Amino acid sequence: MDLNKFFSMVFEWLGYAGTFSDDLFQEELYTSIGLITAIVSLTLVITFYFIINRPSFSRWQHWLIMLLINFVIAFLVGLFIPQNIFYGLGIEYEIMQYVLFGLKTGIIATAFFIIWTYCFKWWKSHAKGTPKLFFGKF
Amino acid sequence: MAKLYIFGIGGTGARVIKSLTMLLASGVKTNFDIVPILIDPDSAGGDLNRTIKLLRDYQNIHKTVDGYEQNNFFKNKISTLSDIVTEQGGGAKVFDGFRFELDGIQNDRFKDFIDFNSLDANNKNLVKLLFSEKNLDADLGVGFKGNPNIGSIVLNQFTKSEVFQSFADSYEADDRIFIVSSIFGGTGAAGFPLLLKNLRKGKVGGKNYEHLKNSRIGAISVLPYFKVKQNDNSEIDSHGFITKTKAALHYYARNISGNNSINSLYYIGDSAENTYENIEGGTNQKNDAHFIELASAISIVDFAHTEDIYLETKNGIASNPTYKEFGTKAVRQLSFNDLFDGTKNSIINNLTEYFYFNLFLKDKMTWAIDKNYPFVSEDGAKFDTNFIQQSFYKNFLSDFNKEFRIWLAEVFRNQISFAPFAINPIANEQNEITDFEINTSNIFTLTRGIPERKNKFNPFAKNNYELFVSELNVASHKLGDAPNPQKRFMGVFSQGTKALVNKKLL
Repeated sequence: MDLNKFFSMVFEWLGYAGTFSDDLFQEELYTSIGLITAIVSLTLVITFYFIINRPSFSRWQHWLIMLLINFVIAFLVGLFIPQNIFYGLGIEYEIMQYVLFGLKTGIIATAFFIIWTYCFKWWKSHAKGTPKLFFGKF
Repeated sequence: MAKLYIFGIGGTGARVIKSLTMLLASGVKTNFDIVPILIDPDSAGGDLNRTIKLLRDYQNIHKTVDGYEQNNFFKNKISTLSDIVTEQGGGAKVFDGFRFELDGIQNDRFKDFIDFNSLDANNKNLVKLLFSEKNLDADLGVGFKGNPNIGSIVLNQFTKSEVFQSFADSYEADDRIFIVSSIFGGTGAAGFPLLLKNLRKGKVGGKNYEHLKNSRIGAISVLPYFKVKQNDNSEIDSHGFITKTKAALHYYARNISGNNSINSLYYIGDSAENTYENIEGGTNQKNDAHFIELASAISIVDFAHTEDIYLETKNGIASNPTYKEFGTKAVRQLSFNDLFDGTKNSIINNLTEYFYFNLFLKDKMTWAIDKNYPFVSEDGAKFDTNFIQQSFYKNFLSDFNKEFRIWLAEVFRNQISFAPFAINPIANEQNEITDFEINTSNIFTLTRGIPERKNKFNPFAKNNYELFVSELNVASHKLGDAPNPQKRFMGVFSQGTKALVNKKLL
C-alpha cells in the first residue's frame, strides 16, 4: 500500500485541513512524518521496557513520562518539518496551521506509542505488565 | 527416603533441634527424612514449646511446597514418629507430636514416682543412701534440675513405652539415629547413655531388632557453655557443672567410648562467659539461643553426610568409632570467616539467602505488592493482599520468620556471639528479644566480613532493593507459573535470593 496514502488517511481522520493537507500529501510529508512518528514511538517504548528496564522506573507514572516525551517530540516534528519544507518551497501558512498539525502528530504518536506498548509489555522486562489501561486489568 | 531419628533430650536437645530446624529452613539438606523425638519431663518448658511450635510451622510450610524443585527453602522433610508409622501402614496412633510425654510425673514428686512409701524399711534406707531428701522431694514436673541420678530412673520408662516400641518397629536398615544431650544437666546426662544402651541391646518389648542393634548412631554431648545466677532457693548451681561433667565423662569413657557403642561422638563446649537467669523450669525457662547449639546442629548435618562405610556396626559394636570436637578461630564475635572452611561452606550460602528472604518479607513485601512489580503479578499466581492474608503466609511463614529473626538476634547477643549479619536486636522490657532491625539502606553491607561486589564500570548499575526486585522479576519470569501460589512464591524467592547473593556477595 502507498505509505503516503495510508498515513494521509490516518492524519486526516483527525480532520482535513484543505490546501494545507493537500500540500502535505503533495510533498509526501505524510510518509516521512508518519514514519518518524512510528519509529520514535517504537524507540521510546523499547527504551522504557528494555533499555532503561529498571524496577525503579517501571510504574505507570514512568510510562506516562515516556508517553509525554513521545508526544512532545512528535509535536515538534509536526510543527517544524512542514514549516521548513514549505518555507523552502515558498508556500506560506499561518502558524496555527502548523501548531494544529503538530498536535495531530502528537496524538497519532500517542496512538502508536500505545500500540507498541501492547506489543511489548508482555515480554520479559522489569516493567512487564505496565500499564493496565483497560479496566485496570489489561 | 531413609530416616534420621533425632532424640533431643532435655532443654539442650530442644534448643539444638531448634537450630537444626533453622538450618533446614534455609535449605541445608541432610538427605534424610528427619524425625525429631523430644524427651523432656518439663512439659511447660519455654524452650521446649518454642521448638515444638517451630517444628509444626516448618512442617506446614514444607507440606505446602514439597516437590517443587525450584524451591530450596524448607526442602528437607521433618516428620513426627506418628507420620512415619502412618506412612508405613501402622494402625495404632502413636503420640502425634514431637515430644514424648513421660507418664506419672506431672504433679508428682520423685518419691511418689518410685513409690517410696510402700517400700519396706531396708529398701527405704537403701534409697536414702542413693538419693538425698531434696532429691526425693523433687518436683518432677519441671525436670530433673541437674540430677542425672533421678533422670536415669524416670527415663527408663521411655525405653519400655509404646512409643519406643513403635520407633523400633518403624526403624529400617538404612536409617540412622542421633542423640542430642547436655552432659551437665539432669535429663540429658541421664538419658543419653540410657538410650544408647537400650538401642544397642536391640531388644524392645521382647522382640529382637537386628537393624536397631547394628544401627548407625551418632551423638553430641554438650559440655557446659553457660552459667546461671546464684540462687539459694534453686537446686541448679552452675558451680557444679564442671564436676558433673567430669563424673559423666568418666562414665562415658567406660560405657560409651570405652565399649565402642557409638559410631560418631561429637563434643562441644565453651568457656561460660554468659550468665542466664536461674529458672528451675517451666514456661520461664527460655534461654537465648547460643552458637554452641547451632554448631551442635551442624554436627547432625555432618553425621548425616558421613558415608555408610565409616559408620559400620557389627553385633552392636561400632567398627570405626570417631570422636570429634568443634573449634573456631579465636574471636568472641564470630562472622562466617571465623569458622573453618568446612563449617563455613556448609551454611554460608543457605543462611545468607534465607536472611535476605526474611529481610525482604519483613520490610518490603507490602511495598512490593503496592508497586505491583512483575514478580508479584505478571508470571503466574499473584502475591497480592489476598495471598498475604492466607494462613500459609500470615501464620506459618510469618511466624517462622519471626522466630528465625529472634533466634538470629539471640545468637548475636549471646556470648560467644555469632554475628554473621550486622543486625540490631530489639528487646522488650523483660530484656527478651522480640525482633531485629537494620540501620542501613545498603543491604549488601550486612553480611559481615563479606565485601559487596560492585560494578565498577557501570555507575548506573542497580543496587540494594532495586537489584533485589530485579532478581525476583527475573526469577519469576524464568519460573512462570507453579502448581500453587505458595510454591511459586517460595520458588521465586529461593531462585531470586540465590542469584542475588551470587551476584553481590558470594
